[in-house]
Amino acid sequence: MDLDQIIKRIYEVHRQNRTTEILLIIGTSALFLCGITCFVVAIIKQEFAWGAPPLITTGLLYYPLKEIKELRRKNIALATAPALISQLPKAKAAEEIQKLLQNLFGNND
Amino acid sequence: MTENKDKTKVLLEQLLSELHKEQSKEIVSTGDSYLQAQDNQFLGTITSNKYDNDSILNKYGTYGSKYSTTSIFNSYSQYGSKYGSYSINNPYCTVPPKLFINGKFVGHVSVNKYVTNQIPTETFLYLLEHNINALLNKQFNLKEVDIRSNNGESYIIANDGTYLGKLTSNDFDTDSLLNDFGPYGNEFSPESIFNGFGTYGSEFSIQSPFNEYSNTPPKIIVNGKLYGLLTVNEFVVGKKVNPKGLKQWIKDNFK
Repeated sequence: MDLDQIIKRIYEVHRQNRTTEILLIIGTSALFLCGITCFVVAIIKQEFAWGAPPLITTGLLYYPLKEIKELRRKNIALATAPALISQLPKAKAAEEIQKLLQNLFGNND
Repeated sequence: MTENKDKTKVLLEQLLSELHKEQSKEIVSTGDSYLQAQDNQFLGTITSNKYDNDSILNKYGTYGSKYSTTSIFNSYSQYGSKYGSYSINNPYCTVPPKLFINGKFVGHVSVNKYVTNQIPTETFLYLLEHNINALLNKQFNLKEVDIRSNNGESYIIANDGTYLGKLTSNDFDTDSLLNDFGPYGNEFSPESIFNGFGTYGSEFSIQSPFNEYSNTPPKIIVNGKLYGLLTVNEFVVGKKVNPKGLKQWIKDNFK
C-alpha cells in the first residue's frame, strides 16, 4: 500500500471535515450571538419575554457542539491510520482500523 | 451508495478493505468456507469479517452488495432472485448454490424443499447473520419457527411445532392465513386451520383450535413472543383468541 497516497486521501477528508467544522462553528456562534442579543434586549427593555429565545438557542447549541466534538474524534482517528498501517503487521493494522470504525460508528453496518 | 455516508467512515472502510486485499494475497487459500453457484461462479466466502473483500457479509463487496450481479442478496441477479436459474430464492431451482465448509461440500442452499442435501435459505441467512460459528460448525438444525421468532415475526404455530401461517392482513402473501389460495389459508390444505377435516382444523383433533376440549391448541406468536392460544376451549387458562373471529382479529391488528 502506497503510504503517500493514503496520506493524500486522508488529507482530502481532513480538509472536508475542516470545512464542515468551520461552518458548524459559524452557525454555533450565530446562534449564541442571537441568544446573547435577546438576553441583552431583555435586560435593557426590562421585558422578560425576551428571555425565552436565549433559553431555546442555548438548548440548540448542544447539537452543533456535539457534531464538532464528533468531527474532532474522527480527525484523530484518521490521523492515526497511516501510523497503524506503516508500523503494524497488516492483520493487526486491519484489526485496529476495524476497532476504530466500531468505536466511531458502532456495529450497525 | 456511499455518497450519503460519512466520508471518514468511507475512507476507513476503504483502507480496511485494501488491507484485507493485500492480506489475502499473502494467504494461500485452502480449505475455505464459501458458497459457489452451479455455473461455477464463486459467491463469496463465509467469514465473520464483514470488511473482507470476498466476504458474503461485506455489504459493499462483490458478493455481499445488493447491487452486485454476483451476490445472492441482489433480488434481480440469477443467484438471488425468485426466478434466477441458480438462485437460493427460486422455489423451482434444481441447481441451487453449493455450500462448502472448510473446503468440503455440505449442502445446497435453497428454498426448494425437494433438492438433495437442502439447507433452507432462511436457516442459512439467519445463521450467516446471527451465528456464523454455528454455520461454520455445520449446525443447520435450527427450526424454521425459531428463526421466525428470532426475526420478530407474527405467526401461528401448532403444539407439535408445525408452522400454521403468518399473521398479516396482506392476503396476497403466500404464508398469510388470509390468503385463500395459500397453504395456510386454503380450506383444503393439510396445514391449514381452516381445513375442517385436517389435523389442525378438525373439531376432533387435539391440535386444532376448533376442538372445545383440547388442551394443546395452536399458539399465537406476535413479534416473536407468545401472545396467547388460539382456541374455542373456554377453560384454557391465559390469553386466548377465538378462531372463529381470527380473520377479523388479524385485519384489525396486523398490517
